[in-house]
Formats: sequence, C-alpha cells, structure tokens
Amino acid sequence: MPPGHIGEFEQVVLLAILQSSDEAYAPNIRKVLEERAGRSVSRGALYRTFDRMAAKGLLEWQIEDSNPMPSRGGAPMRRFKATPEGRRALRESREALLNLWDGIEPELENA
Amino acid sequence: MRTSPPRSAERLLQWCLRSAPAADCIVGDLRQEYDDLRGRRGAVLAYLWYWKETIAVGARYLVGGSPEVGGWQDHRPPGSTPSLASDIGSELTGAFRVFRTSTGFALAVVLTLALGIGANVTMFGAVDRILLSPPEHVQDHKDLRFLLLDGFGDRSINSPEAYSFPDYLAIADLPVLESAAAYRPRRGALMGSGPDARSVILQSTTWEFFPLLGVVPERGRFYDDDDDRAGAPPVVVISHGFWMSEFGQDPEVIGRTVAIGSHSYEVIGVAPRGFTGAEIRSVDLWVPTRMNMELTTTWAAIKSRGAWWFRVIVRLADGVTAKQAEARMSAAHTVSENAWLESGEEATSNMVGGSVRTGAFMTALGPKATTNSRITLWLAGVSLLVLLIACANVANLMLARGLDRQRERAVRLAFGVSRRRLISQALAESALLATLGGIAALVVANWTSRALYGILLPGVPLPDATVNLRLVGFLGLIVFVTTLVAGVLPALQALRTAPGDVLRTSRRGATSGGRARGALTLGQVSVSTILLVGAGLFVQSLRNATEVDLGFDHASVLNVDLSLQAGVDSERRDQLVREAQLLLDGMPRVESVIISTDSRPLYGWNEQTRLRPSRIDSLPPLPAGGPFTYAATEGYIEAAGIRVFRGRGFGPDDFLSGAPYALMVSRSFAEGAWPGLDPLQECITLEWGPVELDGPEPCRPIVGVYEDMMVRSLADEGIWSVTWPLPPEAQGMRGILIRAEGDPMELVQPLRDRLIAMSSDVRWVSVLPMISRVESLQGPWRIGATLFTAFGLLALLVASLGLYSVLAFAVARQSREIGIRAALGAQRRELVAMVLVRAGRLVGLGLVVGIAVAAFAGRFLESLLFGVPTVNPMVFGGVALVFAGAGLIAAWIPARKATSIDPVEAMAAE
Repeated sequence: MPPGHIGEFEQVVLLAILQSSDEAYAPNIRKVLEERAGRSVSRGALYRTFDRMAAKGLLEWQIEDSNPMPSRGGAPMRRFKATPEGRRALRESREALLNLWDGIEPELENA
Repeated sequence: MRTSPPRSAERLLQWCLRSAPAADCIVGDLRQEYDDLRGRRGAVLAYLWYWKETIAVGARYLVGGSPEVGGWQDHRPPGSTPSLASDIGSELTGAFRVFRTSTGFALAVVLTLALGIGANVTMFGAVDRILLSPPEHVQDHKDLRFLLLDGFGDRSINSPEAYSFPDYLAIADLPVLESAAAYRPRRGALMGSGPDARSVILQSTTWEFFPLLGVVPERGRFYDDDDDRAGAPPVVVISHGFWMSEFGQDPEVIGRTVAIGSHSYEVIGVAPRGFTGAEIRSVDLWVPTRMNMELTTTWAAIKSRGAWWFRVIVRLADGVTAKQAEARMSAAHTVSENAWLESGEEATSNMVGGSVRTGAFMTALGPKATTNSRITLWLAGVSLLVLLIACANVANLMLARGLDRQRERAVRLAFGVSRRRLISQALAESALLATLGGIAALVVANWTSRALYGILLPGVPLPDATVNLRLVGFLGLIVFVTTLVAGVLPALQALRTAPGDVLRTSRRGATSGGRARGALTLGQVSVSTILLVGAGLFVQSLRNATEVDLGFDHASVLNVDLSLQAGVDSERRDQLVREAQLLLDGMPRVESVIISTDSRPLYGWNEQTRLRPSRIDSLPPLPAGGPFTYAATEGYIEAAGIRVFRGRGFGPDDFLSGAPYALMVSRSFAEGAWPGLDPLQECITLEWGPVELDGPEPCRPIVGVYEDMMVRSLADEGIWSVTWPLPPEAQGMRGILIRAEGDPMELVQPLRDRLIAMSSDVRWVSVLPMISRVESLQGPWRIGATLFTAFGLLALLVASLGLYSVLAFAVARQSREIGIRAALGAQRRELVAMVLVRAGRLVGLGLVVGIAVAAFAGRFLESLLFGVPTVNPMVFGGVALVFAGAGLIAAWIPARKATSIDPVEAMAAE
C-alpha cells in the first residue's frame, strides 16, 4: 500500500470527522455517516478503524472530561481531529477521483 | 437518576477492551447511547441492545488481532500469510455477516441453545451448591473430616449424625487430631413469647467449632472454653442475616440480649455474612453446647451414650492420614466404651462396638444426605440430555442450511478456497452460535435459578452471586462441547462437497445429508422419550403418594401442641391441656377435641413400647420398628378417623378409672402375632401401663382391630401398633388432636389466638393440619414430577421443532417431485400421507429406541419412585400418545405445504 493512499471507508470517516468539526465524538461521527452517507456502520468496525487510522497518522484524538454529560457516568470522551497528513491524503484522493471522473458523466447518464 | 447499562455486560466489555486504546472512552460512548436509547425505546430494548453491542464490539477487539488487520475495506499485502488470530477473526466476521443475512435461522438456533444451556447452568448451580462448594467461610475443607461410627444400624458411614457426647469426648483430645468439634444439627427454637413469639433456627456447638472451621467473626467474638461449660452465663453468636433483620445492623449489638426459650442470652458476636456453619442450610443463632444443655435441662443427655444427638467434625493433625486417625480413634472409642459398660451406669444397649470411620467433609454433606439432593443430581443428568437434544437440533438446522449453501461452497472450492477453510468456517459459525446461546443462557439461568433454588434447596440461602468462577468455567466447557457437537456434522458435510457434482445438479436436486438429519431427529425423539417416561413415572409416583391410604382419615385433623414457659411443671401442663380441651370444645367449626400423649400417627414421637402378646414368648423382629403405641381420651378413634374393622372401638366404660383397660391393635399386629386365630380372644401384657397399678400388669383384652396406620413416612408398611384409652386422670398429657368441619387451614389462626390468650404460662402454640404434614412428606415426588415434567416438555418442544424442520426441509427439497406427482393427478390425501408416513417412521422408531432404553435405565430410578413399576406400559403408552400428537402437529404444516405446491411453479423453479 503506497503511503498516503487511503481506503474508501477511511475517506468517509475522515470526511465525517471534518463535517462534525467541534462535535467530532464517536457517536456523532456514526450519526453523520448514517445520515449523510446513508451507510450503517457497526460500532466495533468504526472503533477499530479509528485505531488503525491513528496508527497510520491520519487522525488523532484528544481526551476530554465528560462532566456535563451525566449519562456517561464519568467516563471521559474523545474528540477526533484529522491530522495534516490525513487532510493531505483526502485532498490527494479527491484529486485522483476527480481526474478519473472527468468526462464520463454523459456515459453514466445513459446507463 | 442516571440508569446504568447491565453491569455484567459492561464488565465483559471492559475486559474485551483491556488492551484497546482509550477503552474508557468507548465504554462511555456506549453508556451514552444506552441512556439515549433507553429514553426513546424503553428499558428492555436498551438492555438487549447493550448486550448485542457488547458482543459485537468486544468480539472485534478480541479476535481482530492488530489494528492493521481485519476491519472493513482492508487489503492484505500480497504474499503475506495471515496469522492464526486474523484467520479466526475473519472467520468470525464472516460468521457474523452470515447471521445478519439469515436472522430467523440464527434466532432459532440461539434460542434452542439458550434453553438447553440455560437448563444446564441452572442445574449446575444447584449441584455446585450441594456437592462442590464448601459452606461459605470454611477454610481448608480438604483437611476436615466428619466422624462416623460404623458397624451397626443407622450409624453408618453415610450419615454423619448420631454421635453421643461421651463418644465425642472419647476422641476429642487425641494427638492425631488438630482439633475436634461436636454440634447438634440445626433445629427450630422459639424466640420471644406470646403473640410476638417466632421460630428461629438454632445450632448448639462446642467452642472448638468456629476455630476448627477457620471462621473469623464479623463483629465481637466467638465463644471460648470458658463460655462452653455448665453454669456459664448464657451467650449467643448471631448470624449476619439475623443481625440485619432483628437488630437493623446495629453497630452496638454486642452486649444486647436475645430471649430464646425461657432464657435471655447475651450477644457476644456476629458471624460473617453468608456463614451457615458446617452445612449449607441457614442458621440464625449459635450457642455453646455445654452451657445450653445445662440451661435447658437436657444435661443428662450429655452424659448418655444413648443420646445420639451430635455430629462431630475433626481436623487431622499435620502428617496424619485418615487411616491412622481412624485406627487411633477406634481404639480410644473401644477403651472408653468398655469402661462405661463395666461401670454399669446405664442399661446396656445393643448398640455397642463398632469402629470410628471418617468421611470426607464434602462427601458426607453430599448427595446421600437427602432425597432432594439425589433428585437434584438426577435432574442435572436430565438437563444434560436436554442439551444433547438441543445440540442435535442445532446440528440439524445447520446441516439443512449447509445443503442450501452447497452451491456457494462448491463455487468457493472451485475458486481454490481450501477445504480447511470451509471446515473452520463451519466451526466458526457453530462457535459463534454456541457463544451467543451461552450468553442468552446466563440470562435464562439468572431468571430461573431463584425459582429452582426455592424448590430444590429450601432453607439454603441464595448466594450473593448466582454466577461464580466454577459456573463460568462450566459454561465455557458446555459452549465448547456444543460447538463441537453441533459443528462437526456440518463440517464433515463441507468436507464431502464435490464441486463438480454439486454445480452440475439442479439447485434443489441434491439429497445428501438426509440420512444424517434423519438420524439426528431419531436421536432427539429417543432422548425426549426417555425424559418423558421419567416424567411419567414421577407423575404416577406423586399420584400414588397423594392417594396413598394413611390408614386414617387425616384430611380434617389438626395437631395442636402447647409450648409452656420455663418452670411450668408437668402437673400444671396436664391442667393446661385439659383446660384447652374445654376451651376449644365449643368453638365454631370444631367437631371434636381429644387429648393424648405426644404420640400421634405421622406426628410427634411415635413411641415404641415393650409388650408381650399372649401365646408369644418374644416378639419377632419388626422391620418397620415398633410396636408403636397411641393413647388418648374418649372419642379418639372417631376423631382421628381410624377405621375399625373387627370388634369395636372404645366405649365410655373403657375410660372409667379402675376399669380393666382394654386395647386395640392394628391389622398387621393381629395377623402377625396370632395368625389364623381370633385376636378378640387374645390379650397383651404391657411392660408398663398407662396408669400405675398396685399389682403386676394384667394381660389386657383386645376389643377391636383397626387398619394399619402410617407412623413415620408414606412408605410405611405392616406397622404394628397398639392403642389404649387414657382415663381422664392420667398424667403426661401433651398433645391435642382436633377434627374440624370444613377447611382445617382456616382454623389454624383462631385456634392459636385462643390458646395463647388462655394463660400467661403458654408461650407459643403450634397448630399443624395433617394435610400440611402429608404434603411435606409428598415433597420429593412433587419436586420430581414438576421438574421432570418441565424438562420433559422442554425436550418434547425442542424435538418437535427438530421434526418440523426436517419435514419442512424435505418437502421444500422434494417440491419438484411433489409437483410432478400432483401434475400426474396424485390426490391431496396421498401427498399428505407421504409426509405423514415419513414423520411416522421417525417418531415410531425413536419411540421404540427411547422406550427400550427407558425400560432398562428405569431400574436406577426405582429407589426414588413411589410404588411405580419402572417397566410401565401405562406410562409408555401415554408417552407414545403425547409424541404421536406432537408429531402430528409438527408434520401438519409441511404436509399442508406439500398439497399447496403448484406443479407449474415447481417445475419452472429449476
């Protein structure tokens, strides 16, 4: 796997993190994926993906105190952020895709 | 208020996540979502959801290996070989995905396993409590031994009871023992007095008891040798439960007092929570034996070798084997017994001699102890059979599914997927199902074990946690075995797949595996048959026990006993009993009131007596014991509902003082003592009579013969008993017998209230309707019938489901054939018959095998049954009928389906 290349699911996750900006906590990210991308993701898969992407340096997180949320029973929460590396990977992958998309819209419309 | 997710699930999750980064954040996320879901969709759904997520997320972390592997959209670098963990991981992920696509199948399997495994976990909990766990807080129980006197009568290796205090003293100080303690089995005692009086469970022990078991008090201290002596101030150690219920966990409880019987005991210590002494049934209070026996005027018994009131536990000294200790103790026992015989202090008994044996602590508490614990063991075996049926069913379902997926597998094989991979996939599926089933089983067991404990182990306190380490280990083992048993056939099926054949044949053409599935169904039917036969035998036992003729009409009889204040003498007792008779005589719904000695049929002491019937020099040995004696005032025979079948009952003249006291005897007595002769012409000389006479005892005439009565248990047979009339001035009156009009239960409270109010000398009144007594004697059979029936029906249900699935599957598979037949003009009837015949073959053969095994195995159950032959055509026939019915229902839907197959559609589907 060439460095900087990211899989489709990883892209989607990074985008969801960017969309949630200040509210990028795991439950919200899942909600964004469900609502905006129309895909349901199992929690286990999502958590494992976070770990994997962190190991690749695509994202990082910050542990926060959860005092204002009594339903968490004192457990801390983590807010995710795309690293510069992650943003760069996203941009590259977007450009690659757009290049590939060039000129095939009319083809697809007839399909 | 914050509502937390299920604690056990959360703990499981935390364990699965133990090496995950930011694990507590994940736990927090799930808490948050749980709370949210609970608010929106309710507690039940949130609970189930939380468990599901725990398993799904936990499994990801458990089997996923490093984060580089697994997960969605992951590409393995070319040429790398997968690690074992990732292999299992991807299999499990695959298995999960498969179950998402066929939820109905997965639910059916998990539910079946939940029932099968749940039954086992519940039963294991009970067996664990009886057999495997030492009573709580007992240290190093492996070095503890129960003492037993062997070599005669009831005092054998199997009953850790019946040691006399002198027997105990003879061995207590031997150097082969580190320590020895004697205690009396738990028994009821009366606390308080009058309307406030209530019963508590008391155990008296020697002071060595607590240190020997290695228990440490929760508060205060246990008693020592200075407390355990005649004349010491009364002290008591209370249980943790008693401390909570009676003293509200008062931290200042030490020094307060408890009134037991007619004495006041000072509380010196609180036992730790859950401590129940050397046995598993709960105890409220412990008192020092020597002090207490002197206080309660049973001191004489402490010196008597005939008073076998004690159990003795010893801890062997370091390096001493049980054999050495037994030899040394036997020698000491003989020496002390000989000394006692020579002293001539007591009349010699035939119970001398014998040797000291020791029984392992746990074994002695073990299954031989009670009928209930034997039934528990049987049920544990039965629950294993239920699991076996469930496994067969799951294997069956998986085989059926496997056949449907044969094409998929063939394609995969053709593409070069190894067979090993296919097998591991089959096993991964069954492992996943078994695990899910196991988790669901824990929930089932949690719900059922409370009820089961109440039925099987009355008086045994529920442990704080029903789930312990041993149980989890057992569950793991069961899940593992289930995985193998339910997965091995589908795995073999995978192995046998020949891609070419499968791909060439039509979609529904393959019929392989039908034989295996038929055999599995046959097995299920056979095993269920065995269980249902067991249930049938117990139900019949219960019916026999309910219908057994006690020899007297007990239904309206109540036994009443007065507990009197300390210091009330026997003269006053007689007077109080007579007053009570007068007081109750006019009460509404009381038909008659009789006073008697303590001895009453199936109640009280059932005294045995020495007597000499005419024409006989010495009595033959009576296997059931006896002869038993009853004595009561006028009207006794009628009030107790005793049936006279020869001669007459007692008349008023028989009760006059100075009358030549007549006797009545039981049928077995009359026929045994004077076979072929008229008992009314015979007489009996009593060794001592009801009233002291000036001259020697006369030979008393027999005026009537009544039917045998049960004296101790429902299984009593051929009981010799003799009844004599008590003149009004007789002494030693203790018991009151009442015949009620209507429901005797409704008289209990009014009778008690009236008698307690009668005099301040009355401390408590016990009122026991005979029906309650008889019901408790029927207990073991009721338990057996209830639980065997429950397990039998469970097995029947699971087996019927199995039968249904086999038939439905066969119909679906044969739809082409059926369609052709229908097209050729086969009648509806013939098509139904085709399915029914197949069902009939499976059920019929299963029944034959099951009944044959049941007929053979029944003999092992015999000792638990009540007058029921184990080779029992009626039960066998009944079970066959039940199965025929269940089979018909199971076959009906597939048969209907067969008739509705449209020939055109069936052919077009190819």
